[in-house]
Amino acid sequence: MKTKTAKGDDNKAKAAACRGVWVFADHRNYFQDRVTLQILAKGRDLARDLETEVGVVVLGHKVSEFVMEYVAHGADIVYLVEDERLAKYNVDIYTTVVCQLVEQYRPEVFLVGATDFGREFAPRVAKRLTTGLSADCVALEIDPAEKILLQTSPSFEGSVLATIVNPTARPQMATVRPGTFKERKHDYHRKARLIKPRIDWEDGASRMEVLKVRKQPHRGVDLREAPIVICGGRGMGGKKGFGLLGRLGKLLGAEVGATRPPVSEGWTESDRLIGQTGKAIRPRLLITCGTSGAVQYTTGIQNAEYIIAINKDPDALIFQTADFGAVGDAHQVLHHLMMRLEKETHG
Amino acid sequence: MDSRFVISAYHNYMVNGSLLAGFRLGEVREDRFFFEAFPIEPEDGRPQPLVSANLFDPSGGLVLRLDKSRTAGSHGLSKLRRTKSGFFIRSSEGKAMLSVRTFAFKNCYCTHIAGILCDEEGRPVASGDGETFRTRVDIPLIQPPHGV
Repeated sequence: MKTKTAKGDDNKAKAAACRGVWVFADHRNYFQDRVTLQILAKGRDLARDLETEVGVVVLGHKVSEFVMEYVAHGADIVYLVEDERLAKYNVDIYTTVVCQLVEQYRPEVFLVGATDFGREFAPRVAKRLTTGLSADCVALEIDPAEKILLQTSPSFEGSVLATIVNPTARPQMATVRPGTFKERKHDYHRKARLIKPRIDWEDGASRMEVLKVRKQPHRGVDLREAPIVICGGRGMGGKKGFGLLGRLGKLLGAEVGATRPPVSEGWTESDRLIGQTGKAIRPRLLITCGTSGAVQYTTGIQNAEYIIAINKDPDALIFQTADFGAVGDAHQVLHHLMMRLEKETHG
Repeated sequence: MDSRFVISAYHNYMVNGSLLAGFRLGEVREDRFFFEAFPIEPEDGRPQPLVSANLFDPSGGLVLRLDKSRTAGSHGLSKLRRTKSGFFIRSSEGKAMLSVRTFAFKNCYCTHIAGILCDEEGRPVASGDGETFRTRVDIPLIQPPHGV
């Protein structure tokens, strides 16, 4: 019988034998959805710190174009399973195939986009591999001493950011929300190794059949890609006050986002929600008006290049996140700003 | 056992259902069959397939020598004709022997090969219909080193 210490040593030895940072390729709505490229970029940073390589796991049918795109964006190794059975996303089959790959190649880290599919698929993989999974991570780093993945994720309904580690179970799995990390530039010169693993399809029988896949039409609001975003919070006071943001948005060519209260109050649509339960954005400029700066919101804006905050409370938390701040009533400040912009636009 | 290849972010050839940055079938010798598809780099502009080969017909007769997609010697009336996306070769009887076409994706390119390649004894070495190009399992497919 093994003692607790001996078991721990066994697990550590097994963990040490695992190599490589893996990214699951979600190419369903590529080129619009770029979460895989964003995670690949982060995967490269992690792989550099771990002195290993980045692998991308591509499952599907007729996916050559995506494979080359992933190489251009940083993949060192492509694990490609191409088969008609994988043409449609079927979580049963995908889980089985990915688990076979993990058991065969033993990656150290496995990252998945927190898309609808990723949220359904990643927990199943983690459960079957008896490893942990940190959901909706907003930061990923390598502990320099222990060489393990530090996975920062909002916890307790987003009131705190918890950093989670998985000391021995492998792979260390995390899902990452779209827009959290910045993708690398497309590099046409990159080369990679393509590995076509053997799959035991007998093991992959699914209890479900995907009959049809219908794409949801694009609704026009793409906060994640917008270079300028104006975001309103409770401080906008109501539907009329919130409407000011739309006018300013037209003048600046910006998209309008919202924190939770304006969405809950029905001042704007839910697909404009920014933050932990909404979208993570990375605009060049964010103007945030009447927002308090709660962590549920700031986790979604941490990658904005410049943040201008307008709030009448000089002690509001949002000023700790912002690069520039204006203390004052958001309506008045916006009125002045719009008058100035209209004057400049129309002479 | 899995199979491993080097692939490029810019341009690949589709062989045996895999993307390959470049590959070679057979040893490069003057009187023997070989087919070598070279890697193409972004500096080369819009990619054109780059192939050197000794092509034989099913009776083992030499049809054409290719040197980097240019005719290096033809026998009879066999001809190489260039197209916008690649080239094709007709035998002296006018039969389509080989077609090599490059398709453009949004950010990258892929070349498909169609036709039947025979060795100097007339044995089929590889064949493709434009979608799938398959080599005979007993003939090694060699990839030149790409520094990966």
